[in-house]
Formats: sequence, structure tokens, C-alpha cells
Amino acid sequence: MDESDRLISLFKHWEPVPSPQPDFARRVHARIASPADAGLAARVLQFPATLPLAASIAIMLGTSAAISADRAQRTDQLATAYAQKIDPIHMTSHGGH
Amino acid sequence: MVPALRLLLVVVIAGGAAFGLTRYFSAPPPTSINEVEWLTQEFNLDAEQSEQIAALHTAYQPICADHCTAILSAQDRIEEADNESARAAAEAALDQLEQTCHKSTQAHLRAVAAVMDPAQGKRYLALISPRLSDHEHAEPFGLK
Repeated sequence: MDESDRLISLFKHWEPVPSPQPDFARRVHARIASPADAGLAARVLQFPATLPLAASIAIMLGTSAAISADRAQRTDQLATAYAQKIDPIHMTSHGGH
Repeated sequence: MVPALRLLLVVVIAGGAAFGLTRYFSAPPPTSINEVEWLTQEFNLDAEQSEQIAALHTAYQPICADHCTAILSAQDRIEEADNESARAAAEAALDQLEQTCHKSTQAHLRAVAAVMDPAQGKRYLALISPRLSDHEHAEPFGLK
């Protein structure tokens, strides 16, 4: 009896031992169904503080952008008003001094 | 990818709402300005610089008023011209006058800028000069 005959004989008598974990099969299937490797983005998205942190940063950026835009608009309007007050050509072409 | 979409939606709504509310509740710009007060705030002038610029503005006001009067007179002469040559002469005189006014206003700007710190003076000229009427493109009152 050579090596392969002994292996075939062993397979004929071998039976799988049942798993002691009752939900073993379900867990195996769940792992098979889940993505093979959760990347950094997925881990960040799953992090509990991500959503409130992102919302806070968005609020800060939105407020800063609004303040900058408001200041730029105000400066533009006041600079135009100032230039018009010292510009005789503008004053005479828009109704006098 | 639902979590990513939810995150994007929250960021857009939070950022947009913050921007909109801040803009909505910000104070409107004043309708009239005190030139020196505005210059002091905008270009971080100290008390001495403010006083010097106030003096420059006070000195410039009669010059500006004279220029206004001269331009209005020249415009009247164009309106009253009864022939083409008189009209052309009046228009040439007005153009000459507007060039003089333009140079005078630019000189005033440079004098004000010279009082400020160099960087602020440069910013002042960059902010105000483009807002002055270009005498070559200004449309005289009453002319179309």
C-alpha cells in the first residue's frame, strides 16, 4: 500500500467534527459577504465623531467665508463711495458737487 | 456609499446655512462715509497720519470744488455752442480740463498714500485709483 492508497483510505473514513460555536456558519457567511478590506476612508466614515466634526468644520468655514465676503463687499462699496467723493469728473457727470 | 453621501450632505447643509445666516445677519454698509474715519479704519492709520490726511482732504476740497465748477461751465459752453467749430473748441477745452482734474486727483491720491505706511499706501492706490473716472472715457454731462 503506497502513500496515495493510505490517503484515499483516510478520506473514506474521515468525518468533519461539528463546530462548537452555534453561529459559526452565519459568521463565516457574514465575513464572506463583507468587503475584503475596509480602507482608510471607510474607517473614517465609520468613526462616530466624523459627522459632528465635519459639520463643525463646515460651519466654521461657512462663517469665515461669509465674513470675508461681507468685508470685501463693504470695502468695495466704501472705496467706491470715497473715490466718487474726491473725483470731480464723476461728480459732474452724476449730478453735481 | 450611504455614509459618504450623508457626510457630504451634512457638510453642504451646515456650511451653506452658516454662510447664509452670517451674510443675512451682518450689518449693511453705511450709506454715507466720513472719508478720514474710513481711511483710518481701513488702512490702520495712527492719530498723526489721520490728522495729516484730514489736512490734505481739507486742502483738496476747494480744488475739487473749483474743478467741478469749471467742468460744469465747460459742459454748459458745449450745450450753448451754436456752430460746429465752437462746439469742437468747447469739447477740446472740456477734455483738457478733465485731464487736469484727473491729474490733480491722482496727485491728491499719491499725497494721501505717501502719508500711510508704504504697504498700506500701495494698497490704497490699488484700491482707489481704478475707481476714479478715466477722463478719456467719462461721458460729459448732457452729451450722448
